Amino acid sequence: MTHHRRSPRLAALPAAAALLLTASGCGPSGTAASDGAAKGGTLVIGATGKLPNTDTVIGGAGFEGKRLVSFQIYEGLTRYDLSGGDAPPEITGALATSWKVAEDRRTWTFELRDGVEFQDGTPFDAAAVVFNLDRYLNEKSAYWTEALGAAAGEYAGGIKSYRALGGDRVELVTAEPNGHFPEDLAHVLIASPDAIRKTGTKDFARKPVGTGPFSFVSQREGQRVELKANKAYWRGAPKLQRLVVTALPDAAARTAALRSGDVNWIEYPNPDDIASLRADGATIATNSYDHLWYWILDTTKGPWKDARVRRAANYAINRDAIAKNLLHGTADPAHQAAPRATFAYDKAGDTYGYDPDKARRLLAEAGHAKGFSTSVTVPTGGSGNLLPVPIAEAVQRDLAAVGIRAEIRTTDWTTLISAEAKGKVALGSQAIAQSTTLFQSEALLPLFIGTGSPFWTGGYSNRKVDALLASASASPDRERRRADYREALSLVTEDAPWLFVVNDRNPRALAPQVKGLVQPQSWFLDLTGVSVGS
Amino acid sequence: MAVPVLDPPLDRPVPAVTPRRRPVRWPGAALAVPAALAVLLLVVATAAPLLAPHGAADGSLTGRLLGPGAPGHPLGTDGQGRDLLSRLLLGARPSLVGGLLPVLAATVLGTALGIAAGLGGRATEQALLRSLDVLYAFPGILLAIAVATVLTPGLTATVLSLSVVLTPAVTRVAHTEVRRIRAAEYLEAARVSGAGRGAVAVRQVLPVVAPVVLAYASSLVGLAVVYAAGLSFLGLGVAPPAPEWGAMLDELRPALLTRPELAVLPALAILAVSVVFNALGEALRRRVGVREELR
Repeated sequence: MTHHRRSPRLAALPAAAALLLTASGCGPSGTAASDGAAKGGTLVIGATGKLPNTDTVIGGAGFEGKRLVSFQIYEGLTRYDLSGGDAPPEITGALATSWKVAEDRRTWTFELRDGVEFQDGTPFDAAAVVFNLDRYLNEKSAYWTEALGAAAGEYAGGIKSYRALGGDRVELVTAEPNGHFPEDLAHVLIASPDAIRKTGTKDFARKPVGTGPFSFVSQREGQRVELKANKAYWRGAPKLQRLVVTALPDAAARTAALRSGDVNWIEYPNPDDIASLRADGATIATNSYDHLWYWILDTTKGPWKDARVRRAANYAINRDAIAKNLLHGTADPAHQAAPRATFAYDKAGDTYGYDPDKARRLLAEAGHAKGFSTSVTVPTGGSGNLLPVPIAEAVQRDLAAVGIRAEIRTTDWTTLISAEAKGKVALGSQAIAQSTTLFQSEALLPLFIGTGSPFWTGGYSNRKVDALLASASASPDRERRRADYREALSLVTEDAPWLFVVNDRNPRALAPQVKGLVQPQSWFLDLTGVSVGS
Repeated sequence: MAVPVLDPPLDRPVPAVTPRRRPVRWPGAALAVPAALAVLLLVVATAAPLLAPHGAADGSLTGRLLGPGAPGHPLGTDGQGRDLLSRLLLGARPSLVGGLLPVLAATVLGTALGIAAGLGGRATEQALLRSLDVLYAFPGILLAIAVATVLTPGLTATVLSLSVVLTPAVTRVAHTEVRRIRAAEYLEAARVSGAGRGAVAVRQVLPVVAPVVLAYASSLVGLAVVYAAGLSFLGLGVAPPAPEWGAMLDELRPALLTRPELAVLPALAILAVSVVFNALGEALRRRVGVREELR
């Protein structure tokens, strides 16, 4: 396996190890992947956080766990087509080949793909779909658990009934018309009923079986997951032999692991390290996706209640400096609510540039000529949050320049989101800083900008936005939805319930031996074409 | 690194002695040097706003991570483009407050508890000492983190949590000293002549206990500065953009690979303070004649 294994002691001091390696001029050597004669090699990915529960939809480690683990083991009836990098991905068939919706806009019929086998060799069919939906939605099913029900509810909650129409067709009926139903189903993962029966529903995470490109080998819970190529994968066997994902929450530890060859791919390298990684031969892959780093402001009380004040703050931020100098081009400035890599983005909607004078004028108009004091809760880390505290500090300083004195209160990401999911702000601030990937999961959009969301949205409410979201949701026509979303998001831009800061470009650093990655305009990615040479 | 260990002196009977005035001696260099440096640190911390060339939050993202010697920034700039010299100077105050206040609080509280345990009768003594043993069961920094986590992050949280951590150690030192003298004849004499418990504690016991406790406490300052820095490093201390050495260390940590010469600066400041106060404590300890075996 590894020829130049670092001593455990050195591995325990990753920053120091990295320093030594810089001094001795070693670059990413990809030793982790020099897996003897294995053709496609072993890809070892250093992830930024805890890895997910491997039982289908439970996840629980943010979207990063989904992209690197859950979506590699399992598929839904549909999937994102992540083969290209030029446009936001569209939905295509996975375990279903085609679908149609009836006149009532609620009854969907899915034709299932022939000849697909689960990784345990059992056949995929309509009964498997019904079995999995029972496990997620039917409290009377012996395989249903509360955790599964809660997790599946986000995407499958609108399903009223389902049944098999023969062996290769299923009918799903939604409670309300849902135009983005095929998109939602990409997240409703289908597992092998036979495997679930064998292990029992509670222990399925120990031996998960799906239809995805990689099958499960072993794991150290939350820390490391080892997968191997599914040779019988219906789209063709992936080039890689093995895929290992390991949790390395510390950015310096990730960079050190890449340099030492313990991993040959890292997610989110520290932007300040990118130049030196590049100089050492690493490839830095980036692309836009539906990401926004923003502050959610409390629009119900205090100074942020006044839209002029919220707009003023948006004009006060020097986003270009954050994107260019702090993040070294791994993010783009966000001038509006819609992230640039979404089908709802319209360049004409770019509204907020850097204009401190205008900010001061708006503040004076709103009666805050002398500025005001406020507070924001900022997470110290978290999937997709980039460099949360440094970005927040840059925003804080820009706001201070126009008289808005924002106190930063830091807390850990789990504390922040668990309070947010209950409609609260950790540490009781008037704003929270966070990031989100909204638009490739349309089902979630109303949670962020709709009235009466169970999440904390700063109490934002605009009936026109609600109406447009409802109209979009009901429409199976993508162009129609695009128009509705565009209008809704331009209203959000104008209302400015958020401070729009940057759109991430999803940077990852790859050892020179890693070939064949197409970086899509998505948080998710397709690893079937990736290989690791010697 | 010269960090004192929080282990308490052993509880064991020591022969009773009567206090006597020690002859006043001119302190040797071992005391004078660290004492002068400690005073200098306090002066710098107090006068920092006058000394610092820039404000703590001033800077621009276009001048990030400039190396030492950059124009206008003798020690360079941090990840937000702020002047490091200014932030180190301005950070001295919260860093020292985080180190000194908890020690002060622990000294006062610990001395009172130690004397109360020593003079208060067997039941009180056992109750007090055993409940402090519970706190001893946790490693100091873990206890500090646990306490700080339930408070709102900030300097107050740092001071409170470190006070909780340090008090048991001071109590043990004070208690041991009380045990040493509590059977002494002059205490008996005071009691016989009608002095109440309070009067005995304040007039007879405190003057004996205080020098020993003060010497021990000054050696805790270095430890407290390191702990306070640790709490800020974990995001449980001061809030950004306030300059505090532990927080600065955390902020510069990502630059450890690219700019090690900047990233080590706050660490050096923490080390320097820790060494100065350890040396001071050591010198004081020798001066008041606390015997080695007590340590």
